[in-house]
Amino acid sequence: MDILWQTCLELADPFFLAALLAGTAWGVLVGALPGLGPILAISICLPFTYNITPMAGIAIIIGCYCGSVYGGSISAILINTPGTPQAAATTLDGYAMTRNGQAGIALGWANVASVVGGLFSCVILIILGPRLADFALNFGPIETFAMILLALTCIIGVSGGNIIKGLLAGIVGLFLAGTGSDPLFGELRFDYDVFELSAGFELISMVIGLFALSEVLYRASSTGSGNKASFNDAKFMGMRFPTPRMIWSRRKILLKSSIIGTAIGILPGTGAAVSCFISYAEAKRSSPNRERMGQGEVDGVIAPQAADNAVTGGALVPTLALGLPGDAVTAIMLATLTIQGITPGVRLMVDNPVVVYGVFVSLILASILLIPCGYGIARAFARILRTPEPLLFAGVVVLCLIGAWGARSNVFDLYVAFCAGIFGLTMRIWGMPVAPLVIGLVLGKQVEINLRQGIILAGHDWLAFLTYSTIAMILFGVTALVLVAPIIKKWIAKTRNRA
Amino acid sequence: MILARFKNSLFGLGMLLAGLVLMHTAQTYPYVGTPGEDPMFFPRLLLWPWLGLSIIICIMDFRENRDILANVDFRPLALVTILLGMAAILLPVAGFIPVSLFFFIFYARLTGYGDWKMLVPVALIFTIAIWWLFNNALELQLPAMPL
Repeated sequence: MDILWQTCLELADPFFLAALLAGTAWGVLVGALPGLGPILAISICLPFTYNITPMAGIAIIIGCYCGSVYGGSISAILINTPGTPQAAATTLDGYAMTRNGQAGIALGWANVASVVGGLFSCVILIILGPRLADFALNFGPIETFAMILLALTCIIGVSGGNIIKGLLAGIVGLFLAGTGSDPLFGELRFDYDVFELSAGFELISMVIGLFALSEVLYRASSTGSGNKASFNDAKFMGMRFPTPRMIWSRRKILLKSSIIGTAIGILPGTGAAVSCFISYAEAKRSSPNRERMGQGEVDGVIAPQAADNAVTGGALVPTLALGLPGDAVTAIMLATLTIQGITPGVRLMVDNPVVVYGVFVSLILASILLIPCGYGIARAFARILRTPEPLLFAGVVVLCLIGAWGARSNVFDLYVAFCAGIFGLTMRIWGMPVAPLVIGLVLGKQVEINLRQGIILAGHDWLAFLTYSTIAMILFGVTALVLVAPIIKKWIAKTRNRA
Repeated sequence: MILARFKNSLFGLGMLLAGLVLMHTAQTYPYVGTPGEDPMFFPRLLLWPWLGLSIIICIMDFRENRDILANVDFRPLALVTILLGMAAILLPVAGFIPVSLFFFIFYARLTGYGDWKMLVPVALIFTIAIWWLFNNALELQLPAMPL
């Protein structure tokens, strides 16, 4: 109780609240710009934390983290360009809602889902943090591979009517993720003696090309002129929040997605993308409106967004409790704490309890601040979207080129984005869905690393690989069920019709 | 109709050809070892279904009764593609400001925006604002002009 009171006294400082608000707003803005993302947002803020109090420094970083994770959904919904790779899942229904004239509703639901997911993961972090960190240590390569395989099953769900083309797109994505150097031993593959290919294809350049640039080219080709919904037609007036009753009616999907995001965020090295796609796949399976998913269904926005922000709290579990950063973002957070003289790990709660509670409170407040920050920035975007479409798309392309350049300041990434745009256009003309390719791209490296490490661990015995641990077997079983269940359902329905 | 069907299956043929080239690269990779350590294990695992699915897609698209390319207007598409390609190539060479200005103005004109009095000032303000935002606020150095 004394510690809690001491924490409240520290946090009652107006400077702390101002730092948190500034960090969150900055994070949302940067997250909304395609190609920039949480890492850049936090990296820019890092120098500002050197000369301020530890609490204020933590507040800026956590606000940035939460804001930038959410911010990716704004551009994903409005201009079909995910601001972060995990926001690619939000484009599937978010942009479709924009084309249906429901951009404000999509943004409102994305905001609410992010707040709910973030708050849920905070609560779990507070209650179960250390115990969950211990459980996460049970996840080795085989268990992680099994979980990512489950995430890949959503490829079938997002393929629309054409599963064969969707599967090929997913395989192409998985393949492209592996070009460059072998992730285990560094051997060069498929580089064809091109130096720039030794580092593989930059993910954000591919995503920008496949989504945004292909959209620009698609509109120029006049193909599907009936589908060319203009942003101006949508009469977008800014974010429209759902009512409490509407939020209560979606409580199941909000809760389920938050649990998925938190659980996966706890596992080091998995990343938010896995949680977003698993959550989307689960929504596709269980939503009462599953037939409309992919065509502008609210559940298709809620599921990935809730999971995306739920990862923030989950990712802090191994970071704070074990001192193990799960990804680059949490690694920077660890650096921030270290600069402030705080050592994360098993003794953090004992040595610096005020800091731990400060992190908890920062997370809760940052999640709540997403509401005004998201509303304000979405309104600014609304004004921008009233510009005539040729001007708007010209600006979008310029921003996309910057996004592709900004990842590594590498000329090659511009060429990759351009070629990905042409390939994305070709896919769209021939009816091949783009989303599975992006899913494969995002998850490909992790799939390969964990598969090969798992094979080595299992002594090159496939049976031993599949039965390595209880957790892995359960996940493989769930994957098989997810694949087979629709076929069984169809067969039962056919048999019943015959009878 | 046969020509339209052949055009329909172009994409599948392209994917099949790409798959064959990649598979040749994978199969001729000079490594002999266990699956876990073989760098080409995972690519090969993907390329076999790639080839199979490409063949199925070729057949599926060949059997389509409609011409997939019938609604594609190639002229504006080619112009926009060339413009975009030039922007991507010239951006690091000529610098962000001139290339973005050039692209902004020509793209808007190509896609039907006719008001020069609005177009040029908007292009200027947008380009300079973006330059300032990224170079100063976000500290992301955009390609500078060679001068």
